[in-house]
Amino acid sequence: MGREPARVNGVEFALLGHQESWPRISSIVHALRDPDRPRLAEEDVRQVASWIPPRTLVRSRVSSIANGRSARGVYIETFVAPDELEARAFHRAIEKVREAVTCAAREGAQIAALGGFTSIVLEGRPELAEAPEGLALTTGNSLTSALIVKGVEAAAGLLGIGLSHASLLVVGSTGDIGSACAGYFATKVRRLLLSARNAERLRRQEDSLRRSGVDATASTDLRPLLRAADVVVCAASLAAPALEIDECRPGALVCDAGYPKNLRPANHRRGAPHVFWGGMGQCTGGWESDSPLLDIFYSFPAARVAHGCLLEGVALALERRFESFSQGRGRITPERIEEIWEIASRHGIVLAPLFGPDGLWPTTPADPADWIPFLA
Amino acid sequence: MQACSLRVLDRDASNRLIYADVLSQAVSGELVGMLNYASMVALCPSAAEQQEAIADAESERRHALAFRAVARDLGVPLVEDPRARYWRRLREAFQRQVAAGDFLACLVVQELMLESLAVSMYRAVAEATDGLMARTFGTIALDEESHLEHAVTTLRAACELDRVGFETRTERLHGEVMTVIAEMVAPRCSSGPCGVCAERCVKESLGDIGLSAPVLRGKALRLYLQSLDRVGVRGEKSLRWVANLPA
Repeated sequence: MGREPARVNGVEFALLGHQESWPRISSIVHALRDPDRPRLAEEDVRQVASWIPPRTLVRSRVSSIANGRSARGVYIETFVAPDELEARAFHRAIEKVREAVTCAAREGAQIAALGGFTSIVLEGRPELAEAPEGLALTTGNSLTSALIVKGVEAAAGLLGIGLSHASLLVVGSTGDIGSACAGYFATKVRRLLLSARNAERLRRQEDSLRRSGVDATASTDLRPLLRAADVVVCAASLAAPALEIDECRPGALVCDAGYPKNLRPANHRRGAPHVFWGGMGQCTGGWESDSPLLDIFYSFPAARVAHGCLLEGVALALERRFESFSQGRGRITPERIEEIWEIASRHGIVLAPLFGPDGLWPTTPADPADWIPFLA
Repeated sequence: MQACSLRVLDRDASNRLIYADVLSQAVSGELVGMLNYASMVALCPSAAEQQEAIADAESERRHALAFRAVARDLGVPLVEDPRARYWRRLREAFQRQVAAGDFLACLVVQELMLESLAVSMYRAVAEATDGLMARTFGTIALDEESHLEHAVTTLRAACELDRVGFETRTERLHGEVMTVIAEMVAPRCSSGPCGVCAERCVKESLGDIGLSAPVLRGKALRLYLQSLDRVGVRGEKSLRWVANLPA
C-alpha cells in the first residue's frame, strides 16, 4: 500500500464524532454545497453519505483560561450513519471508526477523543481500534460522566431536590458512563435504582453495591423503576430514542445523556418531568474554527457547547496530557471524575447551561462562569 | 416442472442481457483508457515513462479483449463505443489536459478518477457474479489497482511539493471529470440512453444480478475519496467537491 502522506504539523487533538439524524447530515452536505446548486433530496444524501470515508470537517483552535494556553485540533466526522448504530451494521461502523483513527494520526494529532458511538471500540473491545504510534485514544467518558453528575447536582439544586433524600435511577447502569454515575451517586442519594439490559452484569453490580452498604435495587424491567425515581440519569447506548418520558414520575428530574438520545421526543405538559441533556460542556476560554460547520451540527442554545466526550480530548490537550485517560469499561471512579473535572475547569471547560428539548432552562444563569462557584 | 424450467431459462436469458450491458460498459471504458494512455505518450517526461504509458495502453487493450472473450463465452453481443455519450465527454476532458501539456492532470484523470471508478465497479461485479465473468472482472480489478497505486505514489509526491497548487488543479479536474462520472453512475439516467446499453438502461435491472446502482455509485465515490486522502488532499476539501456533484 506504500507509505501514508506526511503528518500535518500543529494539530494536537482530534475529535471523532457522528451525527444522530439524517436531517443533520443533510444540513452538513447542503452547507458544503454551493448555493446555486439544486437542493438534494434526503434520499440522495442517504445514498451517498454513508459511503463517505471519515474525514476532517473543521479545524479549530481552543483557548484555555489558564495562562493564555491554546491547542489546535480537528473535528473528524466518521460518517457512521444513524442506521449503522444498529447491531447488524456493527462491523461496518467499527471499520469507519478505525479509518477515523487513521485519519487522526494522519493529521498528526497526539490525542483523539472518540465521541458517542465511536467510543464503544475502546469500552468493550479495545483490540478493535489499535492506536497508531504517537496517538493516544480516549473515550471521553470520564468528562462526560463528570458533566452528567455535576449537571444533576446543579439541576437538583435549582429544583430544590435534596439528593440525599432522593431515589436516583441510572438507565444503562452497567455501561461505562452508567457505572461511573452509579458509583458517584452511591453514597450521595438515599436509594440507588439500576437498570440495564444484561441481567447478569446488573445482578453483579447490585450485589457489589449492596456489599458496600448502598441501598441498591436493580431490574431489567425499567417501567417500575422509572415510576419510583425522583432523579433519572439516562446513559444507555441506544441506536435511537426508545424511552418514554411519560413513564417518569411527574416533577422528576431527568438527565438524558445519551448520544444518541435515550428519550423519545414528547410534548411539554404541566407537571411533566424536568428534562435536560446531560454530559454537555462549554468552553469559556474561546473556540475559533475555520468553518461554520461546527455551528450547524452543534446547534445548541448556547455558544461553544459540545459533548463532554469530545471536550475531554480538548481538556487533555490543553493540559498537555496526551494519554488514554478513559479506556475500558467500569474504570471511572469518583476520584477520576473529580480529576478530569479539575483539569477541565482549570482550562475553562465547564458545565454547559442546562438545556433540554424545550431549549435553555429558564433558571439557568446567563453567564456560564456563574456555574463555577455554584458547583465548587 | 416444465413451467419452472422455462422461468429459469427466461431469467438466465434476461440476466445474460444485463451481463452484456455491463460488459459493453467495461469494454468501452477500457478502450477509452487505451486511447488515453496512448495520448499520454507524447507528454511523458522520459523514455522510460513513455514505454510505461505504451505498456499501460496495451494492458487496457488486453482488458478489452478479455471482456470480449467473456461476452463470446456467454453468447451475447457487445456495444463497443468509446464515443458514446459519457465516455466521449470523459475522453474529451482527458484530451483537454493533453492539449494543455499537463502530464500530472492526465494522471489524475486517468489513473485516479477513471481507475477508482473501474476498480470499484469491477470488484463489485466480480463479487456478484461467478465463473469466467467473476474471474475476469476480479483479475482486471487487481490490474487496475496497480494503476491506481502508481497514481497515488506519483501524485503524493506532487502534493507534498505544493499542496495548495495540487488541490487547486485537482479541484478543477474534479469539476470537469467527476461531474460526468457522477451523471454516469447516478441511480437513474435522466437524460436518455447513454448509447452503450443495448435496450433499456441497465441500471434498472442491476438488482436482478445482485448489484445496485446506488451502491455502485457509493463504492466508486468512496474509493475516489480514499485515493485522494492517500495522495494527501485535505479531507474537508474533497468532501466539499463531492458535496457539489449532481445527485
